Amino acid sequence: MSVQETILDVKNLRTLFLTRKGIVPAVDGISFSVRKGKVTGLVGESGCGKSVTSLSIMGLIPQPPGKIAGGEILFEGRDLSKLSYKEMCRVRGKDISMIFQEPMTSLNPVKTVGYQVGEVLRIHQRNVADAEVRRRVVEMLDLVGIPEPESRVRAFPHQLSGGLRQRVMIAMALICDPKLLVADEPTTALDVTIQAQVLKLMMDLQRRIGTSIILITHDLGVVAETCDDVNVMYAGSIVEQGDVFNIFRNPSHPYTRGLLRSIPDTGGTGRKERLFSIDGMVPSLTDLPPGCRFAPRCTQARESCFKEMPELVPVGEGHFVRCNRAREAC
Amino acid sequence: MNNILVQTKGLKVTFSAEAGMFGGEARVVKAVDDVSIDIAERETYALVGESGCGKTTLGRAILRLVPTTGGQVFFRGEDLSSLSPEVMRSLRRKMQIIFQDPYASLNPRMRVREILAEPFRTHEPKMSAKDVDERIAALLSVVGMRSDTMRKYPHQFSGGQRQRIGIARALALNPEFIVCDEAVSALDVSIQAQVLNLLSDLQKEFRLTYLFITHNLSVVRHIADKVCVMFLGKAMEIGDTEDLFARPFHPYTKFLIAAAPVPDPTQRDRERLLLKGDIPSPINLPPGCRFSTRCPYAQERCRLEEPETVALEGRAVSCHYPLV
Repeated sequence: MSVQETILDVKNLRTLFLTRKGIVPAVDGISFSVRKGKVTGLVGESGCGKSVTSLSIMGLIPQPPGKIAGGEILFEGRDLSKLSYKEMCRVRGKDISMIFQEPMTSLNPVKTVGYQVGEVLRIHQRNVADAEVRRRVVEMLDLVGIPEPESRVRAFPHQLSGGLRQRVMIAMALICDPKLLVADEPTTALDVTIQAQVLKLMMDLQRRIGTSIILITHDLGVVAETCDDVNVMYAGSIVEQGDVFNIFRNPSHPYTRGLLRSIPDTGGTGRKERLFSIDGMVPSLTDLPPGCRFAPRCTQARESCFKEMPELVPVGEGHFVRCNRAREAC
Repeated sequence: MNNILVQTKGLKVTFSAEAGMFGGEARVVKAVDDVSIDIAERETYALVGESGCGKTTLGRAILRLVPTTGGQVFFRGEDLSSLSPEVMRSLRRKMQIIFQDPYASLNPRMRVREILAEPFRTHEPKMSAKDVDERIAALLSVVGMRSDTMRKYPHQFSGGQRQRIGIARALALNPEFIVCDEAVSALDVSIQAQVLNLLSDLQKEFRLTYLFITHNLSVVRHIADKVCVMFLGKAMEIGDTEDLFARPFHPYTKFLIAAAPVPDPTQRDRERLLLKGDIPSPINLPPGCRFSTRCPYAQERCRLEEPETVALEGRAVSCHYPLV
């Protein structure tokens, strides 16, 4: 990531969960930046820590059992992890907002969508008149492409389809013109034709409003379509970091390469041939292997990989890899 | 052409949404509406579509797990609805299913041994406990798991391992036909690849026929020989996989393929084909073609008259104006 204005700098963030089985380092010392007006992806499979990272940024980690044990989350120079509950409430929804994966469970079923979208305004701009709130809510619903917004403000979530509900979530997230939007698997629960609509909407609004976005997803297709910068996560740490073209054209961590090769039908000729698969499975976070966390599944691992956790080292312009063998020709 | 193993003719499944407690009219959902498909022996036949298109219901109706309201299902030429319960029961061992959710489809209070012993207990009640254990150990090794997993409970496994247990259960009675209902959808991409490879190995080894139900088009393209694209209960287009992906005839197929995100950032600026609007409710189907409310090519006729399914260059297409 080249020198450019950043809006968010996460530095060496560690988020732990205290469980009966011991301490779970769900996010273990990750650092990344979000450039202003850009889309930064956090990619990885279940349990890699991508959602915990987003909840840490939002100050939504349940404490206990969770705990931000170290590091800084610098938003425009302010460390969010040090803010009090009250201070954080003033940031959340206004400067930073979030879209959740499941539009069914993240909306309140007994309030109208108009009320829920307007609530954000009423909390953050106390002296706005009701008529003004209503006008802005209708305008926002219209902006996110909800048909008949004047009558839909009175609809309850169950009266809307999944795609429309996710549009309501986006309206709610954007109504205060946030500087940063955290979107956690925003299209995973949607059908593919609706996903295409919602992604296009998010990208159009992003260009129009200039919001920076952190996009959390497991879908490399979505990453390729939307992100400027990409962080690939594995077992609580970032294993590869770079701009989207570098990551897809020149993936340098064996895990990133494996992920890209496991997608069926890339390259076009794939049918009926065996898919590339990464053997084994993600290690348990309570029982992490010493050394590189990917080593037990890595076909290129050698002895040193099992002993020492590799550092994130540069392999190109703004392209970093956490692999002992990265500097070798690979 | 191989022999047809499973066939549906004009199959219909309707669910009635009863009048609610606040009154209102009883309504009918046509979950599967006049679907005819032919699945050849040892092929992989994919049913694709978005939520509510009836693909899961069709799969279950073929196995007679939901009652049908019209049409027939044939297995090796035999009409399943004409069979007595006893004959149907013995035929069930030939027809199995792998479910989508490896968390919900295994009983959490049973050990793996009990889960895998159930098919034998039902269909081979005379088999000795020792023989059953031997068969279970063999099944586990077929799906790539150690035999000491028998003593464990489902919660002790990851999603991918659980799905392997589900596959072992489906294989227990040497079936000929397996319905894979979103069998890899809940899995991470690296694990999904492992399970897809396992399924294709098993197909070769045991000469299996799959009905593969999924919403994931890249999986379809990888695994399927034939594809049936469904929309709101109806088959919109049926054809050979490569052919259908290369040159879709039905507008819905074209837009469905175009909507899938492409894992290649250099293609992000391509012109995108986007469908407008939402999937209509299956309760109040629009008159005429059910895709006409979203179809950019729709004309007057499409809104009035429901298209017949016609044969077109080896495909079955249900559209007044196919994209030939």
